[in-house]
Amino acid sequence: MAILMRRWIYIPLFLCACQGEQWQPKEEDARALFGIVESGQAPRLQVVSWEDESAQNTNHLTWIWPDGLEEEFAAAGEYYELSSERLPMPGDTCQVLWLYHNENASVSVIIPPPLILNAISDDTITVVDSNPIVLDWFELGSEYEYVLELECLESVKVPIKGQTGNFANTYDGPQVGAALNLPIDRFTYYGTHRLVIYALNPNLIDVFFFDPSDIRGLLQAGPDNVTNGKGLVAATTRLEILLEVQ
Amino acid sequence: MFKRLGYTSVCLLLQLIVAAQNTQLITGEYANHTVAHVLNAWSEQWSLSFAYDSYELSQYKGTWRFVNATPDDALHALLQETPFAYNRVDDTYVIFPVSDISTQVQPTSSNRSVLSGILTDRLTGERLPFGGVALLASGLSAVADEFGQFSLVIDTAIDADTLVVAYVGYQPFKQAVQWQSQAICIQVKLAPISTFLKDVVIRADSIQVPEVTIRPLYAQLNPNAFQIRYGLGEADVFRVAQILPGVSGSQEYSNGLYIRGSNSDQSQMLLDGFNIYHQDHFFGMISAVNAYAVKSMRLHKGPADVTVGGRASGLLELTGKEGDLRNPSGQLELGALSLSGAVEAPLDSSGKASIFIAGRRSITDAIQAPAYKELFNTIYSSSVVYAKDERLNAFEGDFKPSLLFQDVNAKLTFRPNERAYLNLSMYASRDDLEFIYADTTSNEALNVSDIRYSDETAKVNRGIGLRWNQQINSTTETFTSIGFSKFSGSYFSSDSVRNNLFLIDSTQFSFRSMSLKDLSIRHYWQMSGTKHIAKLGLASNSIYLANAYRSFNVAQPESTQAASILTLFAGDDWHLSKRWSMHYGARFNYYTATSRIYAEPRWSMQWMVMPGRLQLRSSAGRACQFIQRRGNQNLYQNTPDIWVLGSETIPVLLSDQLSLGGLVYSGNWSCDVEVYRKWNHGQLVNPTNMPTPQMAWGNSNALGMDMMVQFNCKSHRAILAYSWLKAVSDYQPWLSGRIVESYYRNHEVKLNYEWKLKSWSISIVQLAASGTPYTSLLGAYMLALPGNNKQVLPVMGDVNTSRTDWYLRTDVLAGYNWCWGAHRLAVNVGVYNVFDCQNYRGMQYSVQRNSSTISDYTIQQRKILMIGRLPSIHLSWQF
Repeated sequence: MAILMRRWIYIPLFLCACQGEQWQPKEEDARALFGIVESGQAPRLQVVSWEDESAQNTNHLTWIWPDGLEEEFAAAGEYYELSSERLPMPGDTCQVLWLYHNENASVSVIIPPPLILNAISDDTITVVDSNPIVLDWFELGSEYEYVLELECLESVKVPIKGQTGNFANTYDGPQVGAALNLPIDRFTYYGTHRLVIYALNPNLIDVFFFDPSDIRGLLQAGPDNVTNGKGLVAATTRLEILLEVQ
Repeated sequence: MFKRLGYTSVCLLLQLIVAAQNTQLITGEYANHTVAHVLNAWSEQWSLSFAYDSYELSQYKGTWRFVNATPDDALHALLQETPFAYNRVDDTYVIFPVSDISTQVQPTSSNRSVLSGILTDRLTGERLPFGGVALLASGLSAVADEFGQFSLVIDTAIDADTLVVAYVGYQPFKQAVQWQSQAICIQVKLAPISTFLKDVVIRADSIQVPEVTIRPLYAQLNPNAFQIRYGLGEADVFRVAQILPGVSGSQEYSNGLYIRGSNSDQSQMLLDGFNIYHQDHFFGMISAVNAYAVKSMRLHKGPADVTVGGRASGLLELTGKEGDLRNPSGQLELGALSLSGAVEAPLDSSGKASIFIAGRRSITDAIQAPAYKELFNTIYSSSVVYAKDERLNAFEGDFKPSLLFQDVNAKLTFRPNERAYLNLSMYASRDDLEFIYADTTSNEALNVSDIRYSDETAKVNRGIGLRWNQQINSTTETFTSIGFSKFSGSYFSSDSVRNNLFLIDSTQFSFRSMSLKDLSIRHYWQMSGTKHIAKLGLASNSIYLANAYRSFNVAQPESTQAASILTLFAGDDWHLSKRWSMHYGARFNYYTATSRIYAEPRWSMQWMVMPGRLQLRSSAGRACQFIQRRGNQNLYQNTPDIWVLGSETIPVLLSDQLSLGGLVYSGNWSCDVEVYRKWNHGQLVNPTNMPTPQMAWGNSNALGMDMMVQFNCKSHRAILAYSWLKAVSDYQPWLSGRIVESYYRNHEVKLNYEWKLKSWSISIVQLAASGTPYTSLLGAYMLALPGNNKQVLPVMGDVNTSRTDWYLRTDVLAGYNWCWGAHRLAVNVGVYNVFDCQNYRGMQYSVQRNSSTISDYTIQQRKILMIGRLPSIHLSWQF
C-alpha cells in the first residue's frame, strides 16, 4: 500500500507520458520447438510453452521431405508425430515448418549419412581370455561425432564377479574417432549386449557441449537453430551391433 | 480556530514589518564615504534590505546629508551621480547598473553600420560565450561566439534602436543604442543573478530569460544556475544536461550522455577545444569535469553547426571559467565524496590576464560516508554475479575497497590587445580502484575452488587546449584552437585460487592496458555582412589507439590503430529577412584509414512567425563518427571501455537527421517542441547485453519528440521536459529481428522545480521513464540425448523485448546561503530518490551448479538495482 501511495505523486507525469501500449512490455510468445529426429524412425517433435497453456492447440507443424512432399504432424499427447509410412533416411535433408499465431518459423534437419561397420575383431568376448573387441566404422566426415551406448539385453542380468563395467564413464559424451576398443572391464554383465553407435549432426554436438554459464557464471542461452522462432531440432543416425559376453 | 489566529497573527506581523520599512525615515550625514559604506550603514541602522554589488558601489564616493528622508528619496539622492538605479522588489531594494555599455567609436570604410561587442561578466570581467544578442528595431539577431564576441551589420541604422542581450544565469539586458558612428564597439557587462551580496529576489521586468535557451541547433545552459547539480552530493554538469528533453536522465551510472536514443559513445564532450573520452568518475556516477570549473554549457542534440563535428548524436561543449580579471577570489567545496577548491585571480592590474585553477580530490579514503558506500555498493552489486535480489555490501569483509578520484582544471587567459584573445586550458583527472573480494559462488554445492580476486585499476585523463581569437577588423575575425587529450588505463587483476579437493594454491593474473590519444586542430575565419555571417575553415583530428593484454597464460601483442580526419568546412548564417534566417554549410572529411571523403551537409532554417510569440524551425544534416566504443567498462571483469576506429573492414558511422520544431513563448513561460527522425548506418553493437561476437554492426533508426515547457515567475522556476522515442536497431546477420537497445526509453518525463526566496532555495526533481529493456528467460527444457544423456537448455526470449518496471525517482534539495561581505557560505542538503523507489537496471540470470554433472544446475534470477534513497550534504564557501 505504501508503495502504491508513493506512486500517486507521479500521476501528473504519467498523464503527460502514457500512451497505452508503449508503457507495457511487449508480450512475447514464450514457446519453443524441440526434437531429435532419428533415421529410420517417425519424426516426433515437442512444442514447449512456458506461458500460454493453450499453445499446444495453436501450432501447425509440417514436415517437408527432400523431394518437396509435405506432410502434417498430428498432435499426440505432449508431442507432435508424423503418421507417415515414409521414414527419414540417412543423408536426407528435410525441413520443418512451424506456424504459430502469426509467426512462420522453420528449421532445416540434416540427417547424418548411414553408419556402416567396417571391421570387427570378434563379436564375443570371454571373461577368461579377456581379449578386447576391436571394431571400427566408416568415418562420416569431420563435422560429425559419435556417441556410444551399451545395453545388456538379458532379462535376468548376471553380474561379472568383482567387476563394475566402466563403459558409461569412459564414453560419456561424443567422441571423434570412428574406432572402438572394448576390453572386458567395460562390461558389467554376462550375456547379450547391444552396442549402439549414434552419429550426431553438428546441432546435436552443440547440445552435448553446451555450457550454461559463461566465465562469470552468467547464464547463456542454449543452442538454437529455429529460424524466426526458438528451439532446437537435431538429427542422428544409429548403427546397432550385438555383442556377447561369456 | 487557533490555526486561523496563527495565520492572522503572522500576516499582521508581516504587514507591520513592511509598514515599518515603508515608513522608515533616514537621517544622517556622510562625508567622503563610498556608496557601499552608506548602504551598509543604512542596512545596520534602519534595518533596510539591499541587494547590491559592494565592489562596484565602493568605487563611488561623495558627501551626503539626509534629514527625515524616505528610503526612496535617500536612495535617489545617493545614486544620482552614479550609473546605478534601484528597484524595489518586495522588501528589498535591488540596486543595478543603468548602463553597462562602454562605447568605443571605430573607423569604418564602408557605408554599412556595424555594431560589434563583447559580453562580459560585470563582476569578474570574464567573457561570456554563446549569449544571444538582438537589435529590436532592426530585427537583427546573433549569437556571441565562444569568446563572447558578436557583430551585427546593418544596412541602414535606426537611431532609436534597442540592444537586447539574453544570457542564462544573468540579468536580462536592454539598452538604447545611439549610432555615433557607422561602426561602434561596445562592451556589455552582464550582472549575474545569484551574486548579489544580500538577500536576492529574482525578477526580470524587462525581458524574461529562460534558464535554458534553445536555438535551432543547440541548447545553452549555465550549470551553476541549477541546484539540481548537487543531486548526488557532488556538483555535476551531467545532472544539469539531463534536465533537457532528449537527454536521458534515467541512466544513473553511465559514461557520458545518452541523447535521443543513441549510445553514450555517440555523444562528444569538448572542454575548451579538446576531447574528453572518459567522461566519468566513480564508474559513471559523476562526470569527470568539476562543475565549478565550467562557465557555460552548450548541448547539440543533432548535427551541429559546421565548425564542429565528430559524433553522430550530440556534442556537449564546455567552456571553462577564465578567472576573475578584477579581484582574486576562491571557493572551497565539501561534497559527499570529495573536497574541491578553486582560486582565480587577475595576473595584472589592467585586466589583460587572469588565471583560474580548480582541484578536486575524493575523500573516500578518509571518510567513508554513507553516500559513498551506497554508491559503491550499487555499482558493485550491478557488476557481480550473485544469487539474491538484495544489494551487496562490499564493505562487510576484511578488505575494504578503495576508490579514489581527483581532477585539476587550470585556465590561463591573456588578452594582449583589444583584438586578440588567448586561452590556455589544462585538465587532468585520475581514478584509482583497489578492490579485493571473494568468490561469490562459494555457497554452491560443489565448491571445488575458493577464489580471491584482487583488482587494481588506474584511469588517467589528460588534456590541454589553446584557443586564440584574432579580430582582423570589425566584421572579420579568426579562431584557432589546438587541443590534445590522452586517456590511458591500466587494469591489473590477480586471482588467488585454492583447490579444495587437492588443497593446491595457485595464482592467476591478467593485465590490460589501453591508451587513446587525440589531437584536434581547427582554424576558421568568420566574416559578418549585412545579411550573412560566413565561416570557412580547416580542421584535423588525429586519433591513436593502443590495447594490450597479458595474463598468466596469454600474451597478446599490443594492437594499435591510428587514423586522421582532415576536414574542410564552410557555412553561412543567412538572414533572409527580419523573420527568416537560414544556416547552411557542409563539412568535407578526408579519412586516412579508408582514403575516402565523407561529406556532412548541414542545413537549418528559422522562421519568426509572430515576433516575440512564435517561431518555427527545421534542420537536416549528416554527422560522421569515425571512432566508436565496442565494449563498456566493467568493474567485475576489470575491463576498460574499448574504442575502435573505422577502417576498411569496420564501418564509419553515418547519421542522417531531420528535425522540425517550434517555440511558443509569452511572458513567464515558453514551450518548445521538436520532432526528429534519425537514421544511423554502421553502428557497432554494444555487446554488454547482446549475444553477439565482439565486433558486429548494423543500422538503427529513431523517431522521437522532445518537448520542454519552462515557467519563470518571481522566485519560482519550473522546467517540464518530456521525450517520446521509438527506436530500433537492426544487426543482421549477427542478430535476428529488430532490436530495442537497453538504453532506449519510450517515454521520459522530467520535472525540475526550483523556488528561491531570499537566502533559501528548494529544488524538487521528479522523473518517470519507461523501464529498461532486457532479455527475459522464457524457461528451460530438458532434452533427452542419445546415449542415455540429457541436457537442460535455457531458452531466452527475443533480445530486449521485456522491460523492467517504470523508472520513478524524486529528488529533493534544500539550500541556504549566508553572506558576510565578500564571503558566501552555501549549504545544500539533498535526498536522492526520496521515496526509495526500486529502479532496475536490468535482470541478471546466473547458474548455480548442483553437482559435477554438466546438466545439473539451477538458474537464478536477480534484478539489478539502481541507486536507492541517498541523503547527502554539500558545503561551499566562496571568498
